[in-house]
Amino acid sequence: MKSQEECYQDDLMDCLLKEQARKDREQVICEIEHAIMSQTLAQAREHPTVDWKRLILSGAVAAAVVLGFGYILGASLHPKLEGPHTNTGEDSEKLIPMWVTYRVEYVGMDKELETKLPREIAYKRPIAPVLLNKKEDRQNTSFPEMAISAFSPYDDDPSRFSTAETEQPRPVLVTQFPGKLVDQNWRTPLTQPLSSFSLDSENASYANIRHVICEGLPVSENLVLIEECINAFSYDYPAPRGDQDFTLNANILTCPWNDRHMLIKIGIQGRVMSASDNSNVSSLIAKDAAIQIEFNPQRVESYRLIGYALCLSDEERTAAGGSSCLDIHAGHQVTAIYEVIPLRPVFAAPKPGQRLKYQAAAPSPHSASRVQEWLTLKLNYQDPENGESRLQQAALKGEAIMWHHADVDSRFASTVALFGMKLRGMDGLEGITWDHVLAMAQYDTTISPHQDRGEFISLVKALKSRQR
Amino acid sequence: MSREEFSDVVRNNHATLCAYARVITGGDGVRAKEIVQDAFVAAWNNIGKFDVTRDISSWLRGIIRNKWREVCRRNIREVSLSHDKLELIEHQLTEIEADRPEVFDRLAHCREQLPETLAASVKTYYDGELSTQEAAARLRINGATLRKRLERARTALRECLERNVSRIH
Repeated sequence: MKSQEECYQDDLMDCLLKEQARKDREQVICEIEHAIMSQTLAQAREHPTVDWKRLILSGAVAAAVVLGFGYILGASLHPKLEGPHTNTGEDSEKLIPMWVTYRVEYVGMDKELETKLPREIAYKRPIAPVLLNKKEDRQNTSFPEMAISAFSPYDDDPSRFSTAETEQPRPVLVTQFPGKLVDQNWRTPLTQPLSSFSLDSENASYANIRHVICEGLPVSENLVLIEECINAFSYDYPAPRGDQDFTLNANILTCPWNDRHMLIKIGIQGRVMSASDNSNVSSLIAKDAAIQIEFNPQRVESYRLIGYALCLSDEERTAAGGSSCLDIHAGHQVTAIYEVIPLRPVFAAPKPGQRLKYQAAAPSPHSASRVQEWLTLKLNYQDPENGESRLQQAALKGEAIMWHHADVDSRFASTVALFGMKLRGMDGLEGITWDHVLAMAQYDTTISPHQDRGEFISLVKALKSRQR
Repeated sequence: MSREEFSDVVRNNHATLCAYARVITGGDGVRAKEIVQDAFVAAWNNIGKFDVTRDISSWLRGIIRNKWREVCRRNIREVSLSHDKLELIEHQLTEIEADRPEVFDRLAHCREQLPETLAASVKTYYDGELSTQEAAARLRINGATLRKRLERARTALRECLERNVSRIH
């Protein structure tokens, strides 16, 4: 039995170790702040500034920045935040002070530490229309373990903004995403049969789009992450039963913006915790979960994933290891939509070493059944309790349902997808106006119980009124 | 003392004071941080009364103890440590120089000397901020084994810190 002195010694060491971990984490955050400050200011000086009338901001709401003790003793402890970069000097007369959220990408960071670091950090920054997404710029960051990119959501044309000063300043929260986003390309299953997407279901992009539209401001295409718009809403998927950890859901419907195309909506639903569940029980149901879809070239000529725009080229993304794995908690839900061009292609042999379900080198007794399949979903994950690897998979068969006869959720999700695609100016939408989007959105207003979907309709109406 | 000088004091002592506050509050990290914040504010407001010949970190720990006693008086469910116990903690603190900011550099050096199994346990549990169950699962050992390894690691680290103090007691 330990003596009291030994107990206190042990407690002291325990506390020191915990403080060391916290200190290391905060040190990284300070480095991030320094990198943001030095990069953004350098870029602002390189590019000519625009003579905008300053938008008045309040010093109110902001996302949390973990800097510990600094807030109590005021800004002087952290001159990097409130120093000459923001409010003094000739730069401040031409730059707009705005709250900006930066998405942080960690490269080569210790994995244990990375899980505790923020993925987004908000700062009040002077903004000039700069774009930092060149690969050489990322390599020349002052913090070698990290790449930070920042740019203004607004184009160089100041006439697009309201120059009227408001009597009561309101905070403007704008989310910046690293670099210019590139939409997913069309792919053919013969050469690229495998696709994946992140199981994360954030929705910050939709919140920012909503804010910008309500403020009467233009929606920059780089503000729009279509997958976050789709996942800003919840959908009614069946809950897992028995030993199932997830349900894999997929359905195919006609594409409302192209008669020759189809849409495949994929939904993944985790176990839903009831109100009586003990809040102290871990809700983690899967670790390192990743989804993979294999398309059947005998049914699909081409496909493209709607949303999940990349900053890197497909080749770079592949070299970086593909989609990231995610720990999933009970109740987690993610929805993705593929646009598909259906066809019965010529059967082709797989590449050496490539194990494919639909393109076996030798005739398979199951080939007749497989021909009918559009795709197979595979969800790989680890059991959080014993680390055992698990796989859930499902194949999608059947014919596409007419959009007007599809289920409410599929119609709504595809409408949100179109909303995002139009905002991003994606190709393949010739002749599709906001009137069409509104008609799709209003198709189910009489039966939809979701209040947030009603708000979505208001946004579409606002965009429709602008096109006049 | 100027504002800038006090800023340096805060920066240099924040982590060690948080560790100290964790000990006297029974391991509550969030409460410890709040008390340290309050102590800094109180210290700044009373900086004119500080005797510059004294050790400032010792003075700040005294403020922290008083802040915790105030909390305990307001909330009868909180247990304040007795004077003897606080003295004991103070003695242990100075024995390994945990009142100095350099303690974390020394601690990092000591961690490098741990055997691999203990080092992995410390890294997973502390750096990952995981629960015992989560850390044990990640290391593929049971919770009791992890707790034992962490206890052995803490003992080894303490002995290492004691061997590497810079001042004579």
